[in-house]
Amino acid sequence: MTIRRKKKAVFFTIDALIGALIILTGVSLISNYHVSDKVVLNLNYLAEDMMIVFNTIRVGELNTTYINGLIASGEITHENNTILEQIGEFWSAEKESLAMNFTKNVTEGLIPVNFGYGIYFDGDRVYGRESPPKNFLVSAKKMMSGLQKKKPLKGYVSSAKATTVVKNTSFIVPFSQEGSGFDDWWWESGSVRIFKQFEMPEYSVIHNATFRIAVHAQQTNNDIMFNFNNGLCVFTRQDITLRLGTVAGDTGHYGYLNVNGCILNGTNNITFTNLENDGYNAHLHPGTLLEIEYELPEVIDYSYSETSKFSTRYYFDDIQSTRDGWYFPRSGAFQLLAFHVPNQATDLRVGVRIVGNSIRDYVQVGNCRSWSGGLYIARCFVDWDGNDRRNENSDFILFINNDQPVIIDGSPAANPAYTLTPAQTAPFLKNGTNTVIAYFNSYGDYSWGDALTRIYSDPMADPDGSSFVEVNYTLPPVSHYGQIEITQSKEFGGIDEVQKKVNFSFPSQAESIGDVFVNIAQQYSNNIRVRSEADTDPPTDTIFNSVAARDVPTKVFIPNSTLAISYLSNNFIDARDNGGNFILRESSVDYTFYVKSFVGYGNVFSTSEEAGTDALLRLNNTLGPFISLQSAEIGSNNVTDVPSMWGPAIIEVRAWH
Amino acid sequence: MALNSKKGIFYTIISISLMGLIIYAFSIGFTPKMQQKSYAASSVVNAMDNFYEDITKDMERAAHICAFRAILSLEQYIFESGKYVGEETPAIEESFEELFMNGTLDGTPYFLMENNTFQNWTQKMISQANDLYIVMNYSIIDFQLYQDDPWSIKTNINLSIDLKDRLGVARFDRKIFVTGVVDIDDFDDPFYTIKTSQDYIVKFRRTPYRAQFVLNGTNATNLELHANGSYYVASPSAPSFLQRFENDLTASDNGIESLINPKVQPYLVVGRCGYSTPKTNFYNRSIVDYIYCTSQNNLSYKNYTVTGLPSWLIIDNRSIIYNSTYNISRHEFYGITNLTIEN
Repeated sequence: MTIRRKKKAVFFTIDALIGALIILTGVSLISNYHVSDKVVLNLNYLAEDMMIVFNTIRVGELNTTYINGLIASGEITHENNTILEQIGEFWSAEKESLAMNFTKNVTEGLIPVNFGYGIYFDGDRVYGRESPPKNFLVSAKKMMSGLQKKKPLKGYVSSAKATTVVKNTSFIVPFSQEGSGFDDWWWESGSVRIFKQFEMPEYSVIHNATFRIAVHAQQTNNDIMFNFNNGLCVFTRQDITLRLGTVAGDTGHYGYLNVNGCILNGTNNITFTNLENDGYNAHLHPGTLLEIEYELPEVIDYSYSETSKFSTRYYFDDIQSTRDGWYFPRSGAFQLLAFHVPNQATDLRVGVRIVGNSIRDYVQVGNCRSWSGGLYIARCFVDWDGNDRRNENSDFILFINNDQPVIIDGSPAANPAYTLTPAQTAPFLKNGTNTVIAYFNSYGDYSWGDALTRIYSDPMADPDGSSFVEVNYTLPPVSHYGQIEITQSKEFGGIDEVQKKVNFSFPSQAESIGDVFVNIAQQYSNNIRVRSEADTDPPTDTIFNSVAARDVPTKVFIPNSTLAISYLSNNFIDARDNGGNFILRESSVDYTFYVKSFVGYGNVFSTSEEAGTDALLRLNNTLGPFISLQSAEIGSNNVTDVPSMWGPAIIEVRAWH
Repeated sequence: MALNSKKGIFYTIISISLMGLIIYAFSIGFTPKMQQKSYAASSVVNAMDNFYEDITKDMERAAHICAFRAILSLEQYIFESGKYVGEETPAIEESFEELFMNGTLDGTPYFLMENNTFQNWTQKMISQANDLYIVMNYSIIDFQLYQDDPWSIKTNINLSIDLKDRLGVARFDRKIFVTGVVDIDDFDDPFYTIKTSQDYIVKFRRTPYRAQFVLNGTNATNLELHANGSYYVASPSAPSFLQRFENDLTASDNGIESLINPKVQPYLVVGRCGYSTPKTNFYNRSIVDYIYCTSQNNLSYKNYTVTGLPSWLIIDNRSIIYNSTYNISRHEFYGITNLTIEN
């Protein structure tokens, strides 16, 4: 009995031990699988909650002494920032210690001491509590666009506008073909006096003034004089640096005069006197012009306006052709005047007024031709085809874009004034370069005037009584708001050729194209063709063809439609003399463009000063080398708190236990 | 007893076997391989879910950034061109959307939008997704620009987004609807920019004097301060912030108005504001901005000065209608009913 009981006890004891072992094993297995998960789960909650709290609570809601101090000191500028944004703002501005202290101040006390944690921006540890050691670690991540190291979370943009500038520009005063002075006989002489007036802007500072002279005159015409501004500067033939016309027998001359110091601000005048040619017609050739390079202060007018109506009055020069003797020398005056009409012009109205003085009413005697068909005398004129054309009975002849006259007057008054109304000129007009050629007592190389033949013009003293062409037209409204007009010039260069070419590009600063002209320079001249086209060599768009004798203007208008504004484009222009004369290398193109005088908003910066400095830099780049900035309005329209699509930054909250 | 003893052993063996089975089942269920598979799938789903949540929240920030800069770009366009939106560009909604999405206005790129368009953001999100081995595709279902309060603009973006992991474990196909909000404070009022030929910029700033234009029923000094500060007040008879970009001066429930003051007046350009030859003095008409600059010559309502205030401070007495029902006069609106003198 005792043994049996003892065996039972042992058995139950072993049974109990086995049972206990099983339970312990089960418990241990379960705990092994679930305890770590629970810790991880808690850490997960901790990390996620931290992220949510930091991304929800705004700085202004944290009423602590430390935070209030940062707000008061200006370290915190956006109380509306979330905690995460504020830490990010410090971090992106590389204020590491501030970011660390701010984070520490906000988080310590919130997170139980038995958890470690760290906050990271793009892998940079901003703050962390290292203890306890990392047995289990979890992290919560969040993307945040608009945040990036060294980039302002919200910043400043600035614009700038020039208020006063000094611009470097150029100005061309062209002389068209005009004359004439005859010196038919060795003991009798005749000459021409040409008088031009023009305006220079007030306050301009002239750097360089060059007078280019293309003249048909006798080689011994030593008494020719160029008088600038009523004796301010007087030059004779000996002063001219002649490039062409030095070969014996040359009557075509091309040369230069340095006329620095001869040009005034305001009204100027230039007088040619004693222009003569032995037995021939002394006159100016295309290429006679005054080129002025100057700087001009300009106060930028920011008043917005649109222009659609254009009105320009082109004045003739005053020409006085005289003879000294009574028999062979004859006087006669002619002049070509060029004006241009843009392609888009509508409602074009052009009026012409030509005033003559001392005009001879020559009476034709007999026919031009003899019974056998030969010319009687040289005073019957034939055209380029050898056909009878005009005779001395044509005391006034006017051409407009044609070799058929618009007016022929064989019985002029002594001081006639011829007027063409817009309705009368309309049939003869065209887009591009238009030419008006007026002859008094002369045609071609012949003249038959008395002591004086004059085309009268005095634009300054008698504008309405002068000779002029008045051009009115309408264009689609155009505004050059806040733009500065600049004109630059480029010579053809190279060698003189019958057909010459130039190409040019507008600068990258050019916002829009103004008027562009090619200035033809020739020693001798017949009739020309000019072509222009962007990025096409040779150009194919014919923009001018001479249509009448002496129909070669100094300035030929280049329509904008044949040009490209891109600085990457090449605008090609070529000019050819159809009679085989040379186009001189001094021929040039002067092109006007507009440069913007202000810059809009640029990059985003941390401070308004940085944004302003950037705006000024951009403004100077916009103005380019042509314009020197004198004063500017910077940051008057600063915009603050401009957000940017930086990043996204990856923000990570790590928590461990 | 012998039988009992055998029963005990039998039960013990059975219980040990059952426990063995349980232990085996536990250990089978948590083999490293199974754990890894299960954990991997769970991780992918979690990652995609987190990413989806993340871009949903980040999209609000992106919408705010794009909208802020789009408005700024429109203001830049107005400043540089001297033209209202819609004159030579598409209407405000289309122009705004083009800037917001592509960074261009009528095809012209705007520097302010460079790397700050909604497309830039989506590309960044696609790149972020790629880093997480997620392939992201999206399409824009709808875009709206509107105002439902006077002081902010809102952009609604409805985006369809398709996320799938590269292993093919999980795929989300969802729609995100986000509203980006931009306060109008400190933006320029295009009304003044154009009407002064860009010479005088007025920024939207809420009046600090609302409901306090007149103190003690007699002192209207605050009204003068309000006018001189070029402050704005919400007024349902006035054009809204967005309408001002298009020179649409009709009434809006989200309208805001300011008063023309002597600092601004000399800069106003005849033809853009007003109806006759340039004047150095104020027109004899209400200085409420959109009324003062109307091109209409003879306005049908009367003008009033305010007792104690300068003579240029003329205010009409038109009705201001709230929500198409509640109607008060402008004099009541500014609290000057008992202080006005008819001109």
